[in-house]
Amino acid sequence: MNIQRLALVILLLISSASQLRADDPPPPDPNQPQRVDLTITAAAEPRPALKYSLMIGTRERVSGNAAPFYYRALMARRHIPDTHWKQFNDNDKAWSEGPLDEKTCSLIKEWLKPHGTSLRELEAAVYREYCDWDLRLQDLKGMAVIQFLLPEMQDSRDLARVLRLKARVEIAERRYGDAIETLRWGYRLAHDCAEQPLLISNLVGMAISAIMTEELIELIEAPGSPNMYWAIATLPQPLIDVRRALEFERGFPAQIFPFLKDAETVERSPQEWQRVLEESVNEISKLSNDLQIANSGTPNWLQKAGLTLMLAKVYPQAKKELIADGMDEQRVEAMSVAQVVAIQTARKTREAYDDVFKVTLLPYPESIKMATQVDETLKKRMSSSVFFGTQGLPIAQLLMPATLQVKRAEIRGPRQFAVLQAIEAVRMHAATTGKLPKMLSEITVLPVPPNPITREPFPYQLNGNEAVLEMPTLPDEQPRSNGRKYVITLSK
Amino acid sequence: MDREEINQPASDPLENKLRHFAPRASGIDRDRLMFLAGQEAGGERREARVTRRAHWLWPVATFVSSGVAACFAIALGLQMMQPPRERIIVREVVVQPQQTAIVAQVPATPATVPARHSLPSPIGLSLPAGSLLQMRNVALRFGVDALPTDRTASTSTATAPSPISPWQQLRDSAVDTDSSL
Repeated sequence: MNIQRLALVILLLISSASQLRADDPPPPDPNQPQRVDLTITAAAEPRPALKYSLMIGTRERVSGNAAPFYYRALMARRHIPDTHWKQFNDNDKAWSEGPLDEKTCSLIKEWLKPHGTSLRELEAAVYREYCDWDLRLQDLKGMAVIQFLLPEMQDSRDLARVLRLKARVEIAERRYGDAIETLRWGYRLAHDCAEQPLLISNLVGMAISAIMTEELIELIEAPGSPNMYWAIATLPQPLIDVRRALEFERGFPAQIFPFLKDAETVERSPQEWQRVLEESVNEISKLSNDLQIANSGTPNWLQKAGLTLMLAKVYPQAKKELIADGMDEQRVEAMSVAQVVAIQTARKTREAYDDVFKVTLLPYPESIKMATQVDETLKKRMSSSVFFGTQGLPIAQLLMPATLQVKRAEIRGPRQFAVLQAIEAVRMHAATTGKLPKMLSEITVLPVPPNPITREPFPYQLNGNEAVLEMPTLPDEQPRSNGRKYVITLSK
Repeated sequence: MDREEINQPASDPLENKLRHFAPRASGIDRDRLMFLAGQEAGGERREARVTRRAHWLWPVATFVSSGVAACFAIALGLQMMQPPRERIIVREVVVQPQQTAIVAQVPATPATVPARHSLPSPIGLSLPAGSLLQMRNVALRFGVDALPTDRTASTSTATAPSPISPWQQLRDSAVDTDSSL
């Protein structure tokens, strides 16, 4: 009898332990699209149709520059101590995921109170006519370009986190109008961050936009929430356009290494060319941990010997290519070794940057395809010729961003917005017919946007009461969890 | 000496004694002597033994060295066929904050950047940690969440300049700062 009881207890313990294990959600597989369960309600088009907008319109804004108000908001944020942020970090999961109960809402509201000043300044900023950070980055020279710091971009992400919590509370309390207003602030903040013509600022803008979009999804799922199809459509596409930043960063090589601007036109003595190249190589050594021909402890004669060796290695190929490209042979022969290398470097750096930038001038499908090719070509051309090859000095290798990663980062936003518009079209269809569509082409109340990357409809399938809408990733996109599989059920 | 003088009878006692020697053929065979001398000088037997050893030495040495070379060639081939092994070297990089005039008015970024932020640039060259371009490359590769946060540089670590700290002001004046909350 005792043995039977003991066995029963053991069995109970094992089953409860396995139950506990089963309760833990499995960690998301980075190799699979992320599954998102959405229980939606039917939602007809708002009346008037553009009642809600995620973009703050031109006429809503007041004159003036937003940047000083952003700085004021960030300064207020800096006065908030780490202990206060620790409370956020400790409760991050409970506050950011899953439904909020009344108690959690109160806690979050209490936590948000000290951010009131930040939010007030932020509101002033997002309703300004324009945003000019006025950093005058184009005036920076040499290493100052590299050493420039952007603390405001780092802190902006904290503002986005505050906005996210604010929106969550508003959605939980079914104050959807307030939630949409908060999202508008967030998207405007994302847009204005990207007004700095730097890729890093653009990436921060994209991250803020992604944070806001998480709340937009929550809003779409909230019972009785308004249809956001047209509100999403008011956002500029893309919200963050990397073209301007890429074009600006094209000028970085000449800002850091001024000889690139006038290598073919300026008159310099051989000694001057030698000095210019020496300085450039020293700068490259400072910039790169991998390209240190010399360090501060290296004697001067050894540095010069290293440079001479490098020039001797690069010169024959550089001369050959300049002549092959049509430069007069006698003129090339008359040039000093350093001048030939300088001209070759200027040409190859420009070529590499143009190869990258031209990709951004095409629409998404063509652009992504070409970006893959350009990335491969550049990798092949450059990896085998660092310092000793056809490229002259390795300036482009050092400074240029990865084209493919830039394009992939850029397309995530429009792809996400398109899929959310498709979900909203489904909600609108359900408001008319009372059920989920069998296929997306069945929806006639509104056009369902295709995947902007492929221009093909998003894969959609209805299985009983459950519809699956997929947001696929690119074939070689990593991580695969960037893709989403929305499992949609219609709440009665 | 004259002919007449030679034919004169020997008067010298030595000559007389010599005159008594009878001529006799040599007992030594010159040819054989030369043969034996040559044989002895050449050491024929020893040479024969050495030649026999040398005959095997070179083929064996050639065979052994060829075998070693073949082993090296196979090892090299196998090594080349294997995929390259990735080496991860973790380096702690201490960045000396070098602020421009524009950033001099804002709190500095953290002086120490985690080693993972010293990752190579997309095309293979690494930039100094904390630099604008390095941060861009990190953000492109891992997303902006991988960038170092700046909370450690907030004013919470600094001494409040006045009896009422900005934090206290924010907390106290928080009521109704945001009408939607």
